[in-house]
Amino acid sequence: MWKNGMDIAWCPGCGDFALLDAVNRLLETSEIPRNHFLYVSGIGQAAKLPLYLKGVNVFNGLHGRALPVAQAAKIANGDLTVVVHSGDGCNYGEGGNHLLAAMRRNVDITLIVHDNQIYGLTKGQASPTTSLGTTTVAQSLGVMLEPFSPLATAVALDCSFVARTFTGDPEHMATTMRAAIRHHGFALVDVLQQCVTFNKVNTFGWYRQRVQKLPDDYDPTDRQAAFAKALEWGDHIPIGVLYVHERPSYGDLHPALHDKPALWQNWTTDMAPYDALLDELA
Amino acid sequence: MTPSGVSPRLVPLQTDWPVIVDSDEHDETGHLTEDLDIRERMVDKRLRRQQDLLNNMEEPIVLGNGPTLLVGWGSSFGALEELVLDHPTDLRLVHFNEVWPLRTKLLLAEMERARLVIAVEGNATAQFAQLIARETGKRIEHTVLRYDGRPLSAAYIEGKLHELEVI
Repeated sequence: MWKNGMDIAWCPGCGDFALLDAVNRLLETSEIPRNHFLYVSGIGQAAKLPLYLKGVNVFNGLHGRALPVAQAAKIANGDLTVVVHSGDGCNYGEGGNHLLAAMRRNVDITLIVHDNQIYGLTKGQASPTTSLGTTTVAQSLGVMLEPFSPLATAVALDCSFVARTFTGDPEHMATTMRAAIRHHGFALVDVLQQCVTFNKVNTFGWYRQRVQKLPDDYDPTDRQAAFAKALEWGDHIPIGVLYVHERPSYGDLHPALHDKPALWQNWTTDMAPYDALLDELA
Repeated sequence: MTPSGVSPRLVPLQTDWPVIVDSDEHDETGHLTEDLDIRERMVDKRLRRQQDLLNNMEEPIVLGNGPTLLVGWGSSFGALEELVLDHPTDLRLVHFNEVWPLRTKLLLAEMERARLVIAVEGNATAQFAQLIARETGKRIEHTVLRYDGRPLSAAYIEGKLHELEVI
């Protein structure tokens, strides 16, 4: 399928198109120049998104391994605005431990998870967020594993910014993504997204009927309340910024990163004392 | 597509140009592709790097002057060095610290000269000897292998060489 002069390998009707439009709008309206953005992804349909952007830096690497690259890039080169786009399988399955570590480490990057509750690239197997009992090509008896709750996990780990949005509400999606990128510290945005080909349960209409914006007086700094909200799933699914804990990022805490980005520092070490020590031991 | 197969390095923000890195096959603008011709050219490009690697790798280490050639690799060097220096007129050692791509010229010359060639390895199947056979067509018939969970030591290899009546 062709869009913006690019040959795009997504199904017509895929939620990724709405996300791509949102990212393009974000880049067009951002005060940050395009070449200061680094988009990192793993593997999957979602992970192709950075390749369909223009004028930004891109690192499309290995399945489940977007976060290590993204964190390292930010630590090495703090002038970059680093955003990860990858799917529920890549981030919550293959990349699970990297996600846990990243939330604890609190490097100032943004993770946008395209969460369609299914593995789309590999043709419809259950992902960590697929609902209990869903039958798939690989889970013919239905999914027997409890679904992973990304937002409850994030609040439990005191992730510094936790949000959910929906591809059916472009305005909400744009606002949430912008707030996540602006947030200082690690930000997780879980984006509910239809998979028109492989997820016949959680369709666009299914999400649309259930999503509910958080009320205006909702206090995202209340961790207990955020945890309760994060557990809500079913007839009503809350969307919006569930939890924010402003605190120093990894870069603020690490003294080696205070002066300038690691990449431009002079790392030569005086080897004389070490050589002397080795001579003494020889 | 460079002759060496190594693309020039650029760091984001070093210039105004965006930097694109992709683990999938990609064209020169960095965009992923399933084009058959580009795929073949990318594979050829990666294979071309082997020549540069070979040019930049160290020759294997050679020790001793004996008629029996021991072929070793990797972390067994300390044990083999100790043993060969104890028996310099019985043993000779060719030891590889860099095993791929395999440099074969010096190895083949040493194997040709030796009266007996023994592969000494810390695994059960003589993996390096198999690699040498695959790359050169020359089989090493004799082996000293240790796979009881302990590292190779000079004393261990010496004991095995006594059993083979080499020393």
